[in-house]
Amino acid sequence: MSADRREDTTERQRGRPAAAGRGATEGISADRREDTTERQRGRPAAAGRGATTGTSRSPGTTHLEVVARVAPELIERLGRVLRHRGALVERLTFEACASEAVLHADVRCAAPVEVIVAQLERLPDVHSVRAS
Amino acid sequence: MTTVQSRTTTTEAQAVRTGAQWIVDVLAEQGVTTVYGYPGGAIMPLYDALYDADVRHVLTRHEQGAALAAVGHARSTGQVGVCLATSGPGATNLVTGLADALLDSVPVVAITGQVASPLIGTDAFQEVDVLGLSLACTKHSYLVRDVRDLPRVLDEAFELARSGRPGPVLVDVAKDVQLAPVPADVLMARADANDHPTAQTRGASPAAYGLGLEVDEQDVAAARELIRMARRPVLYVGGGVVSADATAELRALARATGIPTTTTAKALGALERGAGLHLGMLGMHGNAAANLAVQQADLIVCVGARFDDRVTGNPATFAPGARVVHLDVDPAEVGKVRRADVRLIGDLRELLPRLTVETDIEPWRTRVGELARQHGWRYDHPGEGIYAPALLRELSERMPARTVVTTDVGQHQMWACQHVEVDHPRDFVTSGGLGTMGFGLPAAVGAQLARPGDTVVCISGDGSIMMNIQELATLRRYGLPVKILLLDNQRLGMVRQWQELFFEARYSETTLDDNPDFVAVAAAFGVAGRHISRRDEVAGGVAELLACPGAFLLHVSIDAQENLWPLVPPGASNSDMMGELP
Repeated sequence: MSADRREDTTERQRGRPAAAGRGATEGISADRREDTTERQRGRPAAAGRGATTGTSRSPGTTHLEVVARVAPELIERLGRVLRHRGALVERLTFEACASEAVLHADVRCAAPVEVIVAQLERLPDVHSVRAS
Repeated sequence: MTTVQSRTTTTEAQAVRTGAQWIVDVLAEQGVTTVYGYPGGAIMPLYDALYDADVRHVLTRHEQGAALAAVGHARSTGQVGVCLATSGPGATNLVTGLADALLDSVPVVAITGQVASPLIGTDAFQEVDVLGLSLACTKHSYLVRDVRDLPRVLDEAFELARSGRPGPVLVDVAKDVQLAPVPADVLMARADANDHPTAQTRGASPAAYGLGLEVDEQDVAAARELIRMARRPVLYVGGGVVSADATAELRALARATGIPTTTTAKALGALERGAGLHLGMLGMHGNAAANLAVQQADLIVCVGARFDDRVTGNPATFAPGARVVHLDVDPAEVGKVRRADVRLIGDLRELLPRLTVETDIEPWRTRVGELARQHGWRYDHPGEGIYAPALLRELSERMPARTVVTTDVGQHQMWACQHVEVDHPRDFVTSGGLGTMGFGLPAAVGAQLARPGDTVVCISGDGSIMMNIQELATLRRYGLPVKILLLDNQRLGMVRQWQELFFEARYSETTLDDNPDFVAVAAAFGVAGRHISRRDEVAGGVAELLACPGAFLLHVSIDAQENLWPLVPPGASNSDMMGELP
């Protein structure tokens, strides 16, 4: 488990899934610090992240990064939660390796993004969720 | 989370077991004694494995009955309920039961047969995308296309169903996987507990598994201070208390602090009847005193509840002057509807005792006591007909201790919530979140099989009973002495009431004056019955119902125009209750 994921898990263990705002500052910087390490481990996150952050995002959208265990239906699971909980997906990238997958999505939320994050975190396959 | 202690030994693991046989082995290992289901083509290997297994299979007459029986079994015991179905229509018939389990956080494992792996995706006979169907109605789900995955998936399924916030998990198993031998190396690896991955070692979602929920001491201190400073606090208790088996801790907190209590429908029985200042159920059809107390509160301590719309009415006007301390095992519920001033995420059994503080609320207790006296239920009613609340009160007072009451959905359900009292929350089983008509009878089947020594009463309505009336055959097949109290107003009563109140009395498709002769129907299934329609028949009818050694149906005709009160209109504040307030 990466240090990045350890930090995220610790946050959730404290019962603070609503840390989206926090993730927007500390979370992202920690993520970037580890980006090189993650690439070296073959984690697919970098490609997806680059694809999203390299393009301008619409005002009012939130960027979500979801790291999860690979499963054939993973995109459906994540997409269903986003739709049902009121998030409109404007851009999405997804990359999977042998055991782990990373989804990046720019979403426009009717509900508070904290609610979306908490609902995604309930999915058993999901390791971590970041919002920024 | 429960850890399965007895792993299959290496020697046993080396014996060749098919996937189907392995499923049965795991059921036994998980302590499952009874499963509910209906066979079909794609699940025949599993039924063959069950043929001479120690696990008891109960044949319901519809897969929805199997799923809801599993729910009834689980809710009346706290054990994981298990249901089985074949592919295609068998699986689709499970969906309502699984959704019911999801909305009410019930631990259920559903195992469905799927067409053989080479046929998946070919639109084969009785093939449907069960995994896809399951996404919105389960906590998690799996499609097993490789027998090497089967042991891990089954272990995860049971762990997930009962851990964290419980819920239903579906395992769809391709027919060829059921027939294939489970490789010895897979079982040997599993048998070695050190090699067996747990949720924690997999790095799975802590929220899903309820793992590592460490409570911030500052949050506990803040909650204690809010309770200590409150002058008008109310404990608002939900089904999470039941799932967490935290009834004793809740009662101790209520006793120690003297805080008035109210519950949701799912938590009825969590507080003893007559104990302290327990106000009964709150919400749309709640006790007026409970609603008024909550509206006047300066602190709501929400314990394992979720501010459901049937509880809050218009959430913007719910308990407008109150701060909120919210306790739950599921982080996603805290702050979803109502912002919490203090959030405590974790095991309620550990959290509740830490909230005991000295309170200064005597004037408030006096005020709430006055509300309770002012708004107590009344059972006097004009006429010679049967007044449903009075009948249910009679039942409540006469039924033996530890009777399990199941209900269907509609007016009779809310009357039961108001007037039938139980002392243990697993003794009142009603479909709270999904509101599933047809729930009561199959849930009673599961409860009776799970608790054969206890009386089980199913309170139903003439609309609901027809949705799973085929399960009368299950009562007969297994000799189950379920007591059915059928309140018949020849209407879909709740919808009719709303049509009267909110749709200008335009009674669109809610009249059921062509109902069958229910006593004759029961007799056709070998179930004894009696019909009553007059007030002076109530005592004798209830006595006969409870005294009958076998299954019995008491068919009760009630006034078609009788309305359920109080009622908080949709979108209104709980302060604005309609109707004949007691």
